[in-house]
Amino acid sequence: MRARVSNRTPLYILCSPQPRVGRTLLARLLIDFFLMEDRPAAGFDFIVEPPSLIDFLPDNTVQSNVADIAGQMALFDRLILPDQTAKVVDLAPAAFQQFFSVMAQIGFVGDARQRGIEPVALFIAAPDAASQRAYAELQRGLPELVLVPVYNDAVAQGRRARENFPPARAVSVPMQVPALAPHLYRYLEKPPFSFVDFRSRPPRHIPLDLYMEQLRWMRRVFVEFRELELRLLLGDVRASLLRGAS
Amino acid sequence: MKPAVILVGADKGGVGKTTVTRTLLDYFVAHNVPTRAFDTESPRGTLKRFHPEVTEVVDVTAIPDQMKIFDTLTDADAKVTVIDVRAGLLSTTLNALRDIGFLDIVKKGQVTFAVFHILGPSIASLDEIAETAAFVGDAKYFLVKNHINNTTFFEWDPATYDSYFHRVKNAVEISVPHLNEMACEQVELSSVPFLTFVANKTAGGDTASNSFVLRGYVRHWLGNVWAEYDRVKLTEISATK
Repeated sequence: MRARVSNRTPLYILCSPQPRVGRTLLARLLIDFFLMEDRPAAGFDFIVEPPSLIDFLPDNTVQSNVADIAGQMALFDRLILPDQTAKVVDLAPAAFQQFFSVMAQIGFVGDARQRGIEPVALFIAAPDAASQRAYAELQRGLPELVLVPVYNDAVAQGRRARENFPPARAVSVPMQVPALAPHLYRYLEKPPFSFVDFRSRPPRHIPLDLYMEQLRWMRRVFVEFRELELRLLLGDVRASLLRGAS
Repeated sequence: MKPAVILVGADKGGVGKTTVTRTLLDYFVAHNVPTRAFDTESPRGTLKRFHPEVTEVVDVTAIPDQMKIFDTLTDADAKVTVIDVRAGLLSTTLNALRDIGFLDIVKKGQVTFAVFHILGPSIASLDEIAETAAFVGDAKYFLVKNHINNTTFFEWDPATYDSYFHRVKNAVEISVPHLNEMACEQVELSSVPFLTFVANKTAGGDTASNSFVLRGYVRHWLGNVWAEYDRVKLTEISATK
């Protein structure tokens, strides 16, 4: 078991106002990233259409909604628990507005920080205007939230994506998700699927070279997650030093 | 410091008088203003259930209780006195205040007097304004539209409302926003002040197990209510020398 990066309870919200930008795939990778390090992880799925997160990782995922107060309580009362279980929210576009609106109203981010939880929104940058607007509104509406743009090479590439989704602070350095070769998708799109199992027990039906290629891709994504965690840790250290100096 | 009396009332029931009174008591606690309260829902008061330490249940029409409230204004440690007037007793109470000469000492500037008139959605509420206006010439008069139960003031014609509103010198409107029903219900069940609920405490000071989401909604709502009180400079009432 690897040492924990920090004592913070991780909370990641994979989001985009647009469907089919690789949100659920990243949520799956993130949950397996934690599980692979023997760190407990839980997924929260706003099921839109199958297969969704709960289909891929049924043992680690619960169904969520924010449409009514009971759903909001079930979700946010769990997300606010500083129980060292990494929480990964796969936020469907239909719930995007309501989720962040509730989050703002109940003062979630401030309270979460006090409990040692750093909510991080991983916003998948897509080239459409609605995504850019939603990103800017989120920055304005929840300025205390760590908002990290995710450049998914399979969705948007190039300088324009970077210009349209500017990071707001040092810790929000964009994440770069390399595109997976199209012919490799079919090996990981049939639920249930765990990247942990995939790595430890190579499936028989996949040629070795393709398997290795897929592992390399997975490792590159995990490096991005690890760097993000380190940036958050450095942010904590910096803040703590500043507090000590003042 | 000059004593201040805040009367919270309406002649109609179920418009949220006690809820508004509770937000006022919490507001003064948050601003470190020593406050006492009288609950006129004798013999059992709802306000006393939420703020037992500062609340006394009285019969505002009985002379001994009137003495208990008004003869102690200058002696009490708490310089702000909040009176939650039972439904149907607002006019009666104002009459009594006139009869005992309280309105005269307000006129002379010896006591600060504020009336929080909680309005309901019906036309009858507008008539109440006209009736109350006769008594509140020297008071700070706040007309409170209480939306906590999602009340819509559908019966009101804005022009008619304005004509009533402008009859009262210095009348100021306050709007209390809607609070989610489940959050409202949970605070009721907890029987604690809003601030205590937000702090996740029981009446005895132990840690409660209130939902974080509901506490968040109450905190947000209370913040909006207090923003209204800040807007009308409520703390100046208690700060008047």
